[in-house]
Amino acid sequence: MTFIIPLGVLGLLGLAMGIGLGLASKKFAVQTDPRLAAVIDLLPGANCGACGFPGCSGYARALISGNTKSGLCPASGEETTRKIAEILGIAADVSQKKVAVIKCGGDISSKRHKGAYEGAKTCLSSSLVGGGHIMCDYGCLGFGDCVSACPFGAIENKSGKPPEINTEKCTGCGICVKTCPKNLIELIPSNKYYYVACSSKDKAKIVKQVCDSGCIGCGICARKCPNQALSIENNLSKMDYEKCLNAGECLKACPKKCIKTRK
Amino acid sequence: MKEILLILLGTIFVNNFVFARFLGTCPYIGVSKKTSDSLSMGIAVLFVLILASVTSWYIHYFLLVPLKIEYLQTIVFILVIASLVQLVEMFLLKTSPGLYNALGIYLPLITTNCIILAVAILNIRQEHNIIITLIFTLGAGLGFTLALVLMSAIRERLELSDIPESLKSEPIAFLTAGLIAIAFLGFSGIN
Repeated sequence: MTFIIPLGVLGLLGLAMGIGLGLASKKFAVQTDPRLAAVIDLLPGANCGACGFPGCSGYARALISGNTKSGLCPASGEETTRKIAEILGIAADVSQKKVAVIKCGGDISSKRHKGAYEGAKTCLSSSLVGGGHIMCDYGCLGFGDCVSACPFGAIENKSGKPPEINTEKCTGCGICVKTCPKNLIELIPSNKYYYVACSSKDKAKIVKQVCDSGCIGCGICARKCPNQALSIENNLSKMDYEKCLNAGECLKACPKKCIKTRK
Repeated sequence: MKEILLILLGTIFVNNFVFARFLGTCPYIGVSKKTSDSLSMGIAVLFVLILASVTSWYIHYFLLVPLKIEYLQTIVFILVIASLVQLVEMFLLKTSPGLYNALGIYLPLITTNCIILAVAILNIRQEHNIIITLIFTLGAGLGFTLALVLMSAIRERLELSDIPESLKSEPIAFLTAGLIAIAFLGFSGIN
């Protein structure tokens, strides 16, 4: 029965300290701005930092002190921005929600590798060795740096293909854009559906050698688009989302099937 | 009276907790960038030290010894220290938010500052009475504050001086810490 005394002493001491701290926390309670808690509740709480502040509470504090404007959080929708603006009594700065797309749709399985890459399995490390282990100098390296960077779990790895972005989960925070060493990810307005899934600036001959579905800069999409939203720059088709009407003519016209629609 | 003075000077200079015993080196490097911050950190540590060592001294002699459970010393002392740091944190947040923000993460880290536990345990091990405990603790805290302030004063000047790129910030701080420790070796052996 010798264990009872130490158990009792430790338990009672802990209890006494706990009660003491509890009483002290009442006595030393600090009045905080009730708006702060309300704003923190409204923000998504992922602490992604896309607003430029240290975490959601940092942004909430900056909002309350009036040093910044609302609508900087790309992860919270229009409705949240309006609610926050209402709490603070300021004008809501509502911008079009954006989603990320990966501008590479090629086959990146082992038959398209330059050689055997045995380094650390991250896109960043691979890209440092002669621009990566994929034959296409512009292509996705497929190790999924973006997958692990995404704070919302919206990107999923696919074997032999570039990762896939789940538009439902994507909040447009832009962290993957900064992560991708090949600069393949772009934020597009969430009300537009078509994008050019290729980033190769190589000439058609080289593109054909290294990829089955790379943009060869033929310009058919630019001619078929009813609103001239597409143009060819550096052997690559480029979409102007200000002009895109979601017609989908480009998707049908592209001979290499490198224009895609997001899921 | 002479004995008290000797213990005080001994813990501040000869057996300085940072330079001679190498305890509490984390805040020593971490909070020694600005003299004002390091001074307030030193005072916060001193405050917690005195509270913690007196409380743990009483707990040891009036609770652990009569019940013959001295082996619980470490865990009980840590419990006491953790609670006291919590209390100080609340107190500072209420009374001095500026100091609270300046100390930042190092305030909760006082809990894990090994000087606090070391002083509490040394007081018991060296069989100090309550007066000596107080003096010893005061010396330990003052010695720590002295180390911090000395270091930060040097580092403030280092900020402005032209030092090689690869030595900037922490590396030069480590070198400086080593040199100060060697300088304090000069006190060793004095009793």
